[in-house]
Amino acid sequence: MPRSPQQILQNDYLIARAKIIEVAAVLDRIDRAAAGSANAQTDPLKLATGSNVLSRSDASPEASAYGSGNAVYSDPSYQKIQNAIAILSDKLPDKTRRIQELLSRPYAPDWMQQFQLPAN
Amino acid sequence: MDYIDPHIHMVSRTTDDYETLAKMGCVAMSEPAFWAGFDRGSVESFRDYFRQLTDFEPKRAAQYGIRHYTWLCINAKEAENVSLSREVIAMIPEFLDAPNVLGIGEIGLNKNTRNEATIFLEHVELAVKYNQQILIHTPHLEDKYQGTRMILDMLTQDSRIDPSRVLVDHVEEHTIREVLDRGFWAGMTMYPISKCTPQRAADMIETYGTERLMANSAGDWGPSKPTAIPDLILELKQRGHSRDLIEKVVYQNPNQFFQQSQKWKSIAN
Ligand SMILES: [Zn+2]
Repeated sequence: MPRSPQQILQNDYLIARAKIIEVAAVLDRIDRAAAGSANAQTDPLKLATGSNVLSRSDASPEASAYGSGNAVYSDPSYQKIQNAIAILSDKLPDKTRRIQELLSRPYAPDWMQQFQLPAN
Repeated sequence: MDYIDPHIHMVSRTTDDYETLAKMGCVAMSEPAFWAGFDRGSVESFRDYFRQLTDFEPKRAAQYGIRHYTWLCINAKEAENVSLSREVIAMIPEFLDAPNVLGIGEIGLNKNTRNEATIFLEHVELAVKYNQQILIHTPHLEDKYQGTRMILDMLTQDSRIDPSRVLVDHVEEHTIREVLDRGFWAGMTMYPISKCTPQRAADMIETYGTERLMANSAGDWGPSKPTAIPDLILELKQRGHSRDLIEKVVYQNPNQFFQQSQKWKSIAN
């Protein structure tokens, strides 16, 4: 008997939950480093050696550097993550393939001509 | 690097795990009493479990040069059975003088029920009466936020409780701040899927600093990794953190917290 959608949701909910939290943590990590370099203008490694730890009151979402103009936010890799998240929350099917394609270099149909193949 | 695992359930692990942990630098550990994966039938079952925790496990650990300490209680899951819980709480003092018992734990909530809260408060009474430190289990997943707040409410309304003698475990991003702000010690449990990863533990160290913060593996009968603390050490090293910072979290902090018990022998001595 194939599993029902509800069974699959029940089985895989915790896995999805854990992975979403990991993605959030990656984005927060980037924000924190961006905020650190904006506020403290210091060696990013010093961010967390104790002297420069964000104080508890500063560790709020308002203190996030998100959109602060740090170059990281226009980095193509950052954009790819944002675009992939958009695919996760749209209402269209085939999300895994679409994200894989988003994260792939495009196929060049003329690659043989570029390589001048066949060589004879 | 030498480290201490402040929360690991070695009754569920093999002797090979002790050997591996010793090789990775584990010099001491503390093992709170917890749920066995099934509800036990009688107080005698707990008496045997406490013998295992106070007699057998320290010997097994000592074979590999690891100091083994423990905490006693009936866990939150079985606390739903109030009459059994009261029998266990009445029996615990038999073991409080054992040389490796650090206090009462891991007590807490599971589904945040009235029975769980009742038994939690009776454990707190026991700890106060016998001047014991307390180790706290906070609930899992969607129950953690409410349950952690309920636990902190119960502890902070009791003026006899000194937060510096209480360790609140399984904190995550949405509970850590309140635990630390209210003066308690906090433990991050690195546990696949349902708790936090070494990467996120490193993030919390970077965000909240190292004061009163420690990390543990929980290593139990579930899909857990008893070597999670070495994983955290490696993650912190790879991020460029100093040896002093790493050592504070994985060694100095647990050492300082546990030293409040006369029974804890500082490893440095
Ligand atoms: Zn535990």
